[in-house]
Amino acid sequence: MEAAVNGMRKYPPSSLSAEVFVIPLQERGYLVYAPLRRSAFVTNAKVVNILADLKSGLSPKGVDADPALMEFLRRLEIVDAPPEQLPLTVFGGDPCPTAVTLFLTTACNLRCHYCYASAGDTSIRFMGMDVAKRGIDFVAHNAATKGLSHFEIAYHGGGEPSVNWKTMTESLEYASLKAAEFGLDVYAGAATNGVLNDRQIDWMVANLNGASVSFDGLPGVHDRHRVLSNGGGSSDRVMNTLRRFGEARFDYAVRMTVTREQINVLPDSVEFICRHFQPARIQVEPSYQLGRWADAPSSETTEFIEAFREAQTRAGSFDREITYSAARLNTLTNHFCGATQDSFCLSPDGNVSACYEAFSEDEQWAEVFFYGKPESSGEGYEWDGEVLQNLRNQAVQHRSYCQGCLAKWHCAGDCYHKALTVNREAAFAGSDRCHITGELTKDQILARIAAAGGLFWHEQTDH
Amino acid sequence: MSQIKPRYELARVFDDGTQERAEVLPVTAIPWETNMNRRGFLGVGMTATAVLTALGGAHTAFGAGRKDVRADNKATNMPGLDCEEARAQTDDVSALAVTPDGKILVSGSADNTVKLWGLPDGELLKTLQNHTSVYALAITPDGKTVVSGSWGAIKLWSLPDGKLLKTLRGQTGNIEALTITPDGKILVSGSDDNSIKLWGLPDGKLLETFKRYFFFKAHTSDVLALAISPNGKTLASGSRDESIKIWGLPDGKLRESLEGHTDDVSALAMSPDGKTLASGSRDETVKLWGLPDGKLRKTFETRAHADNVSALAIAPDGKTLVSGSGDHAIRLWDLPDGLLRRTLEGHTSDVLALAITPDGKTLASGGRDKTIRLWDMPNGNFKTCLADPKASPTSANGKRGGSRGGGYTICTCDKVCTCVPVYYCQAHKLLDPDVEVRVLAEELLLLMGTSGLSYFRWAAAEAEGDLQLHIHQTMSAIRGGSPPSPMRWPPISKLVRLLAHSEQIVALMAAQLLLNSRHPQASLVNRTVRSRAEAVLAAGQPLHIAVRAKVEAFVAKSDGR
Repeated sequence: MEAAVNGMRKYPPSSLSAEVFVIPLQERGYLVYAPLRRSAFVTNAKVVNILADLKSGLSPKGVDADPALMEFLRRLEIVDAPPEQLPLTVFGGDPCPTAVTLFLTTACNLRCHYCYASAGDTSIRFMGMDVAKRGIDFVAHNAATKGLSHFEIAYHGGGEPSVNWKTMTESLEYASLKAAEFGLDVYAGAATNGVLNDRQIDWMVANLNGASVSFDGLPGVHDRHRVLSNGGGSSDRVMNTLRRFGEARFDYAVRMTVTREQINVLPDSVEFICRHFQPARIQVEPSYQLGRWADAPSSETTEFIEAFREAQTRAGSFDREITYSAARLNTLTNHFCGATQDSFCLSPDGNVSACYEAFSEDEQWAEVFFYGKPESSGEGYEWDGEVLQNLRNQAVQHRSYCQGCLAKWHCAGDCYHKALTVNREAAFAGSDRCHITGELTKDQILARIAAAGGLFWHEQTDH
Repeated sequence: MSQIKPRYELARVFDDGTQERAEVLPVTAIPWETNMNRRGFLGVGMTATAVLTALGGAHTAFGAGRKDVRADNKATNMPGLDCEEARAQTDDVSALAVTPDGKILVSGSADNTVKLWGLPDGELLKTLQNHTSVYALAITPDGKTVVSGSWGAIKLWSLPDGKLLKTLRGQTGNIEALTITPDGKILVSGSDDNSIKLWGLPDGKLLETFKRYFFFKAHTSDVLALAISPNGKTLASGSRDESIKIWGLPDGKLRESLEGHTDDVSALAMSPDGKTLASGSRDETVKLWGLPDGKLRKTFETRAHADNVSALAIAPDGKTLVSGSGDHAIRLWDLPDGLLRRTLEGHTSDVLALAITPDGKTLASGGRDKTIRLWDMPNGNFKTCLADPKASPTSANGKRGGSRGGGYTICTCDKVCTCVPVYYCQAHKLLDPDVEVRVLAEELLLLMGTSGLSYFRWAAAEAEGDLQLHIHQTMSAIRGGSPPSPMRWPPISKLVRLLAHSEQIVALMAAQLLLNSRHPQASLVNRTVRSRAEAVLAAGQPLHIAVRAKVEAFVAKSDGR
């Protein structure tokens, strides 16, 4: 309360109560976005400067004459609201995962040109049941200790999991028994290249809760890079799998990889998928310059963004959406993925990795991502605290580069493995993916405003 | 490879110093779809006021941005038009009338058009051209014909198609007033040529002219207002000659000439039972006259408005009189006692026309600001304003004319409301179950001007000690949007003791009595306070006006005007 001066009173000024990002729009105006308030609107320089002055603790000119503006900003919780709650999840102590990802094998029945794992060209490893059981025992016990209702198993790896069919099926059977022992449920999923026989398809439908199938869309597009070991295309086999999954109403997602020369047909491929199949999700990613594709031209380009937008329009005509991993407006987090959240992945040899792309001990960044190994006593695991802590420190609040990014709390620093590939061991300094992420996140925000009626977007938060 | 570090943190941006207003730019299309078609995805900028009025003040109006956004969110969060930008006509809205079935509102304007608007949604149905400035309207009881009056001409149009049926000529000046007998057989027109004419319907045959000649004591100046009793046997006319004349119908015999107003009699309204005639005048008063005797029953306050009372309407249940004025305000008065119930603000210029739907649930007002506003009756909550994109300078979407949802809602919800004036509504929400708190809030409603929280500011400047502190804290809470609290104000007995100004105290007491006369907890009111308030009330409410003048003077001085 300020003292009276000559009978005139000063009233407490409004204060900024949100982390606000301002994105200039090419058409005109500025997109004002408060991610933790789930608020956004498009405005002119005057309002931006008023907000900037509030942030600086200055008294903005003209504010008193426009109480409606302050009220509007209050509605969006951008001013005069209680403090924001940052979406910070911090991990400490020994990992206690309740989900395990089993890298069943480095073998693969395909020789995809852009394979990040160079599957088929690396030393062949198969996970045995002893490794799988130890991991399953560990997470089941943790889930029971935490009082959870279930634990999870995922099948992934630097190869095709279904090639290690024996361990895949037996491990899930074992997990079911373990779950029953603890009175828990087990949720299981798999990433697959979709080149499956009918028996395998039937088993997956009967036993898994879901699967992610790699499929690049138009058969000609798919077959260009996703080839069998004999060099032939795999689209027929994959489409058969997709059809069978669809008939069984199995919950599956399609993951598309887009190489540089295929960017211009991305919209057609998306339309092809929407027209002929029923995936629950369609994820579109530019090809990673890793493994066999390390020296290929990057597809993380502006052209990719434009093609993605057109593909989004095509999907929208089927009432579908396509997604890009780092542009996820619905997610508020300080972690891009499990790699910084004690993700528990077991290599075929049974060592613990935090990252799907660090799938074996021979991988170039293995020393960064492998943070555990089986305990010599026969149960559980022992941890490399230094490696683990380094991984935990890769959350976005520790990334100087990301602080001014509108996607800070959605992308949350993007993939650490890719960042290392781009920047080597230097501090993260962004990548071509950052531009894609920023543009597509901006698209999503504007779409939310439009869908909400056009004036603004705001979702009530608990913050 | 490294990238340019993203720098989207909030910071000042280039401002070319042209003093642009703060605007929200509507996103009118999905951006990537417009990129494909090379169209822009942003609409015309809207002020924050416009945005808030588009929201209607309801917290549930916030859109979630999801595909399953609720229909009510879509309806209220639409790129729309503030009333200031939502023009119904391109010139004064001079006349309004509602069909007997309540489905069509007819507006007449100085822009030479008559417009038909569908009710309740306010969709523009038709624009009738081929006129000059329209100052008067009337609708036949069967709802099949609308009559419009302009310079020297009366036009009959069929409803709802708007086909011109007939043009009547005979009066040499502007047709200032029109009315139709309940049997639909006689049209009465008043003109600034001082005459009143009776026309037969539907043929339009001239039946009678009331004009002063020799000893025939008709009006000696412009006839500005007309009203007919429900039985069709009595006609009242108001004139620039400051008189009201009562005529028998159909004989046209002058029965009474009512004197009392000291300036133009601009508006008349007849009660549904035909026993009361209300008159509004440029002398800024509203008077109630008994019929058939013509005795003056009441004058509303020393000044009902601060300017010409240019429009009147009485609700079908006879319990509410509505007055519109050149002071831009609309006032709701209780009948028959003439107590002011509410002031409706929103028009930015003279209120020229009023009409109430036959079900009594909607009030339409038209003004010199070219807008038509709809209000809920009897509470006076603002509903919407009607818009014709052709008349509105900044149509956001160019779609056909119609009402725009939301608006200056005087909130009835139990949240802190944010209508315009913002603080007016927030103060209204101080009407807690605690009777003393509600009394104070009621008084604030009466005294609060268009300068937000002006009463508070005046009281804060003039009050002493801890009351001053308390007022400041209350204002901070209101500005912060905190909900009303019965603990916010000290007991009124303490307020009486602390406040130095007798006018303020007495005004508070008078308001307290006003409220408590209807309040079930009236017995809780302090007897001493009550008796003093009764004494004040007996003298009417001049002190309310006096305190308001003090507040406005204070605000003008503190704002440097």
